[in-house]
Amino acid sequence: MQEYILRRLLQAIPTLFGITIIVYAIMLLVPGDPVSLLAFDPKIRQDERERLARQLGVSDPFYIQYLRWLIGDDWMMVDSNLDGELDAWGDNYGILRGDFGTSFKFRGSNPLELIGERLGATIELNTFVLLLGTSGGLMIGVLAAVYRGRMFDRATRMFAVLGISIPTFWLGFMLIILFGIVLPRFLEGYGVGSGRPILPMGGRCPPVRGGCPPIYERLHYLILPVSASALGGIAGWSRFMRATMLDTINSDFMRTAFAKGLPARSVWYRHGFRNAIAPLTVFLGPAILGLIGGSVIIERIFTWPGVGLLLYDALLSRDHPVIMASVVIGSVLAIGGLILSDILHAIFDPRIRY
Amino acid sequence: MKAKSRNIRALAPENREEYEFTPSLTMWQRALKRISRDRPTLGAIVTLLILAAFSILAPVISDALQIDPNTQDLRNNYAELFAIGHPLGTDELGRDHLSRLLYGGQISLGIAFAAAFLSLGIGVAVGAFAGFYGGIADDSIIWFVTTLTSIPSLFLLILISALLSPRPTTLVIILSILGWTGTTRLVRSEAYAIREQEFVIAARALGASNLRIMFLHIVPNMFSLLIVDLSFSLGSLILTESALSFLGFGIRAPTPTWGNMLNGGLDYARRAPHLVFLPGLLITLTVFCFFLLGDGLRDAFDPKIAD
Repeated sequence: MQEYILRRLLQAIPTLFGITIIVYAIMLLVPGDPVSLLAFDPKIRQDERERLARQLGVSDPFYIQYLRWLIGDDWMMVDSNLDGELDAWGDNYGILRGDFGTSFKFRGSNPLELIGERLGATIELNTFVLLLGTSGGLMIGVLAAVYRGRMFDRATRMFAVLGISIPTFWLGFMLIILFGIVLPRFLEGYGVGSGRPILPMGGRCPPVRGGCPPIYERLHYLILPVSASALGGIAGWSRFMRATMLDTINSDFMRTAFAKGLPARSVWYRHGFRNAIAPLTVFLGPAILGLIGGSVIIERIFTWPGVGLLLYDALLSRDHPVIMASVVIGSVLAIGGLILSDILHAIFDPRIRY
Repeated sequence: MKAKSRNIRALAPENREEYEFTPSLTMWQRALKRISRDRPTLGAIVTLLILAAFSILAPVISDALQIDPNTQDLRNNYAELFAIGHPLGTDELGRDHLSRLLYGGQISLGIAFAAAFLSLGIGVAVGAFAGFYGGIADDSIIWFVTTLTSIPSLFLLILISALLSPRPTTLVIILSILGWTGTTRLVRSEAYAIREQEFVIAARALGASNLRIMFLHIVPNMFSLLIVDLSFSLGSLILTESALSFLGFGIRAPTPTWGNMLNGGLDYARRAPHLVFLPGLLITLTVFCFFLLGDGLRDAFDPKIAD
């Protein structure tokens, strides 16, 4: 098992390597070179332009630029006083050593620190989404399989397709309108409440100094974003669960369990359910991947101060170091999710060869 | 299965009179028969055809009702539903909402269809190549696919879109360049299995070239899978396009798409909720129908399900 985990971690290295190449290539493919972006002055002289290009390191060939971004340039000589001669060691440590440069927008901030401040919020939100999505989905899926072909099953199948069809941002916005405007006004008409929003319409906690209070004091802030984000998950998991449960039903051990007279409830939930979960661990990785990507959307609607919102703001202000750092860290998290899902699968399903 | 049992029954002397030769159904005939009984799928097909017809006929309908998607009328903005001259009201600039929804459908559906077919093409070509040749080609393609899919797709998409500010054609290319990986995985594993079958060996014995075997013998054998895949990818492309537009990195105004209309409407939701509600409803309805259709097609083509 340990060997399997180690090998799986080693396999992630070429993937991560590929990701840095792809991300860096995209950064370079952007039309408009950084020199003209930084120096808008059309009267800038040609030799000054070249100097600036050398200073930024954009006149080097692709692989040198990529290497400098990846592992830094303190191993090579650079032209520090811009007189055209290599005279000093570089002072850039490269992303492998945690140096993503400095943020353009938040002057002098390390992008990794900016992400670190917001990572907790993203993980907090997505943990609840994942918990609600899997537990809700598994429950509905099992019931649908048990009552196969009946009214509940057919309704569930429609709900499951509908759940993955609704755009998250639209659902989130409809929830905000419902709980922020429509419902309070309706209740006020009947003399209940003051017409103020029933649930907080965004944010992670009340705007107070000194950060957010512990999570149990602000659970109501989680209700709307988690519901909006988890609907797709509930729908998706219920589809998978129903399918694997129906596969399990036809196995010999289920027939044996019924034949030896075990009560149906115990056959379904102790024999069937447990065996049907194993194949589902495969979907955990892609689900985590999807949640990380989707966090941009959900955090934007509910102004949840996480990595997604940071990336969104960085894109609007063209804060390249922060953009790159967010995408790379997001991918690292996603790969972590995929590995976790593979390991769980190996634990739950002893037929998997290590 | 059914045809066989009928034949055996026919051999019994007492049934000989009843015997009538019924040729067994081909895959397509059986699928068609199953779909014709499957009401949700039929409903989805009809709805999609209606939506497509409305989008294609957008200019005709707009002319007939004397409405235009881009004419502004600031004295008559935020018109309610069923206002005179504007059946679905007007937006913040007084542009006719119905007409914008129709033209928006044209662009949203058009982008989804173009991107779905383009990424299907890339996916089939790369997947068939990887599955057929195996070895290093296969390993490197799979490494690339794994790498690309390990980056949260929306991160990559908004990164590229934010930097390029795409027009519809550019967006189609971006969506397909990022969207072919699923099809490739599917086609690759199928091709891997099919290439060992007898008819492929027979074709090779007859002197068929590798390209001919790949695209005339192996790929046609997965048409049913590809149609199902296409249906699901159409649905998810519409969702992706709308998500991009919602974040403001999709097609820019004034060109209407359902996504950017929805995004534009968010700022005026208190004043004119229908500007948010209707585009979202159309997106949901379209995606819902594509996913239902995909489910229905998968069941219809599934040889394991008995009639």
